[in-house]
Amino acid sequence: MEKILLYIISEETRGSWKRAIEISNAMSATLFGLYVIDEKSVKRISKLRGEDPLDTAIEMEEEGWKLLYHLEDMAINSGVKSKLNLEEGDPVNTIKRQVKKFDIDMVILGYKAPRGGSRRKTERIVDQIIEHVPCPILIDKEGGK
Amino acid sequence: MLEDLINKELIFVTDKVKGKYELLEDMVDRTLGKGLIMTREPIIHEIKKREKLESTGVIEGVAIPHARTEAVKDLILEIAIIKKGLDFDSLDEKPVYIVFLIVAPEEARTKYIKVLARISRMCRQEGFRSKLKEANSPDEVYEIIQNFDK
Repeated sequence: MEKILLYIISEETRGSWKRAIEISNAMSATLFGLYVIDEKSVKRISKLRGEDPLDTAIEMEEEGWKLLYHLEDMAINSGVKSKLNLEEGDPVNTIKRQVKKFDIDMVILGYKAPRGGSRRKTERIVDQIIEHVPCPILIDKEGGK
Repeated sequence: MLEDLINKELIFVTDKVKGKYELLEDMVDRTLGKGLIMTREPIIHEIKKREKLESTGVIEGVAIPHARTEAVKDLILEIAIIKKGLDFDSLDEKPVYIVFLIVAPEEARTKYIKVLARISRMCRQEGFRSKLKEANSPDEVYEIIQNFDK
C-alpha cells in the first residue's frame, strides 16, 4: 500500500487524521489530504446568510486550508510524506477522480454522526463514497477506540 | 488582496533552472539585502525539510513550497515562472511552470492561510495558469495577478 487518501470533512473528525497518519507511517505510504468545498453547501449557506456565494466559498476555502495545515504539521512531525489538496465541487465525484488520478490504494474517512437535519445528508455522502469509490475504504468512527 | 503582498522585485521569469532545490535556494537568495530575512540558512533548511515530506496543492504545473520560520519578520511571497518547466517531483510527473514560495513566521499563521487560500483559488483557474506561463516579465505577472485577484 503506497498511497492513502484522507478525506477531511471537518475538525470534528480529527481522530481519523491521527489514524491515517499512523497507518501511513506503518505502511510507509504517502498520505493525500483532501478537503472539498462542496458546491451544494456553498449555495445553501450563502442563501441562508444572504451573501455572495463567492464570499462563502472563500470562507470555506480558508477553513479548508486551516485544516490541511494542521494535518501537514501532524504528518511532518510523524515523518509521514503528505500531499495536500483542496478542490471545489461534488465530494464523491472529487474523491473518485482523485482515486483514479493518483492510483490511491485506500481511502480513510472520518465519521462522526451528526445530529439533526444534516445527519441524512452526511450518511448519504458516506453511502455514495462506499458505493462509487473504486478502492478499499476505512471508515473511522469518531469516539471509537 | 494578494497584490498588496507582492513585491515586484520578488517576481522573476526564467528558463535557466538546474533543479528544484537550486531554484528554491535562488528564490531565498533574491530576498537577501532587502531587509526581509534575518538569516538565509534556517529558511533553506526549513523549505527543504518540508519539500522532502510534503507538497501543497496538487495543481497541474504549479508548486507552492513554503516554510514557517522565525528568520523572517513578516510573510514573504515570491513568484517564479519557469518558461521551460521544471521537474518538481510531482506525482503526475508533469513539469512545474509556476512556483509560489511562501515564508512566514509562526505568528502570521492566519495571514499565511488566507494567502494560500487565495493562491490556490486562482491557480485552479486554467486561464490564470496559462496566462502566467506565457508571462515574460515581472510586470506582466503582477498585472495578471491583479486581474484575477478579485
